[in-house]
Amino acid sequence: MPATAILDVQGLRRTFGSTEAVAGVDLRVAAGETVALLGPNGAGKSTTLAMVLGLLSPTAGQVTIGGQAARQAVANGLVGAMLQSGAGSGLPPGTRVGELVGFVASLYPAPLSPPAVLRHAGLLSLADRKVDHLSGGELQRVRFALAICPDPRLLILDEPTVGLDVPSRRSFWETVRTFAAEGRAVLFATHYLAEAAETAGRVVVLHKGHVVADGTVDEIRRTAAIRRVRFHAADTDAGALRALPAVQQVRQADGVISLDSTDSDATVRGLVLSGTTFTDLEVSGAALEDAFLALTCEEPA
Amino acid sequence: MKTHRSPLARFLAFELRRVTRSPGVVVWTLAFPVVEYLVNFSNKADNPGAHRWAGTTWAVYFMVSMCAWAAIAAASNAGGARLAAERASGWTTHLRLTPLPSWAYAAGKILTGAALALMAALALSLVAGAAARPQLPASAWAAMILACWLGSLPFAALGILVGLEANTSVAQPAMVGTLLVLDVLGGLLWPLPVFPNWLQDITKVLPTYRLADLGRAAVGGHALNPADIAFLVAWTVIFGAAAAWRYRADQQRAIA
Repeated sequence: MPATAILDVQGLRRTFGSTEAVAGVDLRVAAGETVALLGPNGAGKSTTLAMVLGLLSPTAGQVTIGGQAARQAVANGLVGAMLQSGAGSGLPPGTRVGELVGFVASLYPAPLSPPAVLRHAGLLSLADRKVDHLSGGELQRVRFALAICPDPRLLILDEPTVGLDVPSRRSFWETVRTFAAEGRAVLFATHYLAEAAETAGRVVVLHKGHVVADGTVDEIRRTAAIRRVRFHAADTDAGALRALPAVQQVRQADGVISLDSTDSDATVRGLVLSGTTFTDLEVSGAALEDAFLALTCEEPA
Repeated sequence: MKTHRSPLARFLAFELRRVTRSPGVVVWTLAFPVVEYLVNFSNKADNPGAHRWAGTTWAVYFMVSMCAWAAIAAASNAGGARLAAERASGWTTHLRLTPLPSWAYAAGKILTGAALALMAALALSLVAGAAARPQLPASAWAAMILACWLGSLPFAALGILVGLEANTSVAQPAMVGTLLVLDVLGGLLWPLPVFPNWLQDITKVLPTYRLADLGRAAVGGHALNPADIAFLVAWTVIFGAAAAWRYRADQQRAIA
């Protein structure tokens, strides 16, 4: 992990009543890195990002952005964010795009100039338009513009393309990539595997409040395909088990054998044919697989 | 070198530009007191009570009541349904991602309400002056407008409290209902001596009564009653502190 982390999250937890929404998340994002926080709905992505931004106080754990506490980093303009706005626009009614950007930029200590913000967000032609009369894609570009006003070193986007059509999605990610190319880090939440794969160099998979995988999409796909074959057996030869089809790893403890397999059907067939006496056979996926099952049914169009 | 302006000044300028651009809100809140005044300023013209209560005519007495009403309704626009809508849209959450401190947010909203109240008090005075032509020295006019303006501060804070607590579907009726109760019980529609004694005791605690009392002292040329000011300050502090407390709670609630 590079030493120059712009974001450092350690042991982050948050409970709501008896529900543990975030159950101990560690996450580092290096300067200039683009990271996807991938997970199904309810995985704890939004709760994590709200704590990263200091909007929600953690039950336990620590967040530092550029070495500063979250609220401090927000006040100093180190971080900009575009959160989910639900059914609303996220913008104050009765304002013009240009004056809204001008006002928000004026609050930060060292902001981007409003014309630069409008140019980055592709809003130069809409500066005089009232926010009440914008399309979904235009609204989202205005919300992006507000997020980049502080000239942030870290940009946080919580499911930024929800509800957008495919062309708007594409042009949005193009805008983000251009902005990130200037050496800024981006951390975005999504439940679209394809979006994470296309945009982020690194993907952190969150499932039920835990980080279940962290790596490139290809690495994660490989890990996700692994199944675990477990059974009880008295006399076994580790070497023979290792030689069974598709077996990657063999673990033995107290008479319980556990095989990591890339093809559990072939492994079980081989196990039966080898004549080994076993009981209580069980085949299971990793937590990551559960997470991916929930994800892959929701690919964007 | 650009001139330095405080976050409060920037936020206030931004909010004022927004409200003055959507005049519908202000005009609507003015409609009732203006019509009420025009309909009723003359029908109790011979009312001897007004002289006893305020040392003035009914036209002047009722102008103070409706001026207070207008200022109160206008000030509450600082929060109320507008604020509930801003919360629902996610804009309030976005502001928390800027360096704007929460005290500057609250102060900006309250001062916006005060500015609307001043406009409303001026507008009502103009209408009343044109229609009823009450005989009143200019200093008394100015004092009444000033009283209505400053006395509207607790209602700006109350509006913010309602806007933070109520969701979009109930914010408007909740605001209108709360103000209606305070206006009527505070003696703005009917003068205080009409109420039974036990109700008068309640009335005298309410900020609406204290605001109108301040205005009546101003037009009657009486000394200001320190109790009026004390009550109005106390209500501003109570509503303001409750709003600040709910603003912090709302920050967590907006996410959870």
